[in-house]
Amino acid sequence: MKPFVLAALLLAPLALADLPAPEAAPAAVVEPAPAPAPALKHPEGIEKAMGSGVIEGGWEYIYAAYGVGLLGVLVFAASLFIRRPKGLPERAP
Amino acid sequence: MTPKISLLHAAWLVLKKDWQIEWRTRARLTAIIFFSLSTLLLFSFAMGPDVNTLRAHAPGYLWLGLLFASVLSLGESFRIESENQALTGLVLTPVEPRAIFVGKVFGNASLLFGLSLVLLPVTVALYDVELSRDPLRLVLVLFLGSVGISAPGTVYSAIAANARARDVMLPLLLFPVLVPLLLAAVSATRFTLQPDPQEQLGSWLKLLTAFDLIYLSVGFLVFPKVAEED
Amino acid sequence: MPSFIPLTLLALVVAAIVAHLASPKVRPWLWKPVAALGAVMLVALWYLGLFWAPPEQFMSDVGRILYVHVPHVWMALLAFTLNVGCAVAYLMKKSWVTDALAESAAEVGVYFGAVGVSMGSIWARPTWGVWWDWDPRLISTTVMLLAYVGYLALRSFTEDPERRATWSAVSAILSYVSLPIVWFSVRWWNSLHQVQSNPSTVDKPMVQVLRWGAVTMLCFLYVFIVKRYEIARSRQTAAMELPPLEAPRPEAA
Repeated sequence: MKPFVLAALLLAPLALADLPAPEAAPAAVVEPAPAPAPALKHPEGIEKAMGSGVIEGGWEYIYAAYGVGLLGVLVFAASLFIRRPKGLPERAP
Repeated sequence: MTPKISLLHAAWLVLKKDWQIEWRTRARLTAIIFFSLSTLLLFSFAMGPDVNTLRAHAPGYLWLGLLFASVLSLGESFRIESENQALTGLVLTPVEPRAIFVGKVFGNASLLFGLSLVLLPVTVALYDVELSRDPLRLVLVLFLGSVGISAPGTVYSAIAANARARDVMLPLLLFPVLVPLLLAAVSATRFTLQPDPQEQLGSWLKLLTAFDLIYLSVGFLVFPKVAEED
Repeated sequence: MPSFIPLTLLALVVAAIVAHLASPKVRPWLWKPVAALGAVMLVALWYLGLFWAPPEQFMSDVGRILYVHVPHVWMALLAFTLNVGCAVAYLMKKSWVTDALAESAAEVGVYFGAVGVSMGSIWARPTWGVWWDWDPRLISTTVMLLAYVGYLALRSFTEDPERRATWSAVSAILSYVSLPIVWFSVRWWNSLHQVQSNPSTVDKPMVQVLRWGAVTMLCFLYVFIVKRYEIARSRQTAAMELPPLEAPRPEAA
């Protein structure tokens, strides 16, 4: 099994190899949000609201969803850790 | 000593026994009738006096009233058995546990069906619905719905009767399973009380029947496992 | 990202699971590298989903939620299916192993389902304008989730281990059977009110990210179930070692 594991560990960073140049994460957070906005924003008021059926923005929802996912993994892992079987000493009696 | 009797005959005996116990006091039926009456009344208070809203939502209220009453009645159905180890006695008789299941399902279903027939005039009084549009199929819907509540409900009440916190356990287990039944029964009832321009009643009746058959057969298969642990 | 990368990773994780089932020797340590892989992939998934993937055609950026939402729901369904498989196996042949596995699969499934449904609800708000809708997928997943919360409650409210195993197995089968019926009933009900719009075109990069997310969550599914299974087993042994309070049950051995 060990080769598999090693290969997995090696492959994981490889998969990211063709990503765009690594930026600092917080900088990237701000950047993509306004990018599509100028193209869609300039039409008049109602036109914009009706728009082309494309939903604009909503980044707060995206962050909320991704946050829920991260929080969930951490909380569940922590709960498993807290409940972990306490090995030999407890089995003695 | 006792001759082996057929499953249906045994189921009939269990059903008759339940009816007898019920008839002796009539306590359960009276209790659930008054319980669901007050539920229906509370719904009409909660929604206010607008007749049109009430009439439009009457099928939903009727089925919710039945559903809440069914939890009480199902819980009682195995409580009388767990007193004095009666169920153990029943399992020890040379009767297949499946016969107990079939008998119990139809015992519970007949009680609920009777209750729903009692509630129909009440819905007329409270929600101003029109029963005369399609009375036969309305009764059919009520019957299929009662069987549908009772089939999984009998299995779950046999389980919950012996668990801790059984009063919470039964609805917690039963309600999620009954979601499709509630949808189908409410829709089907709606189309017997109100015009049905798209002829949807048929497909809801089919869904109800399918639900009943599926849960009757699943319950039939798994009930012996439940009974042997009781 | 070339398409073979997520598929290779998937093959790796599946191989790890197969190895886990096949050889008891790897069981104590195999979860560690898989967890490490999962953690690395999770970080990458957050990057891929949030920044790398292009905005979806109609939902624009909000569509990014799907990269994490969909894998969670898939894993929940996988876990529930595993749970029902164990339930059936337990009813056919009593075994503490399948009982413990059923318990852990159910709990992990509830975790994935709860996270997945809340993500779906967050997604529905900007997309459909409501937090909640009569979407068959949404309703059937939620009903499933409720049923399994009831399942876990039943388990915690029953003391006798053998009763608990049998009853929860029966209850799991009854809930799982309802899944297709819920699906159809909600779809029929829906056909009356509105036709649900479906995200039609799925771009290639999106498929890649979705696959990446699924493999990531599969890692976590495996690790969580393995660790939860260890907890369940140790509780079983603890329960067996206690002196029986009432009638002893000889089958327990």
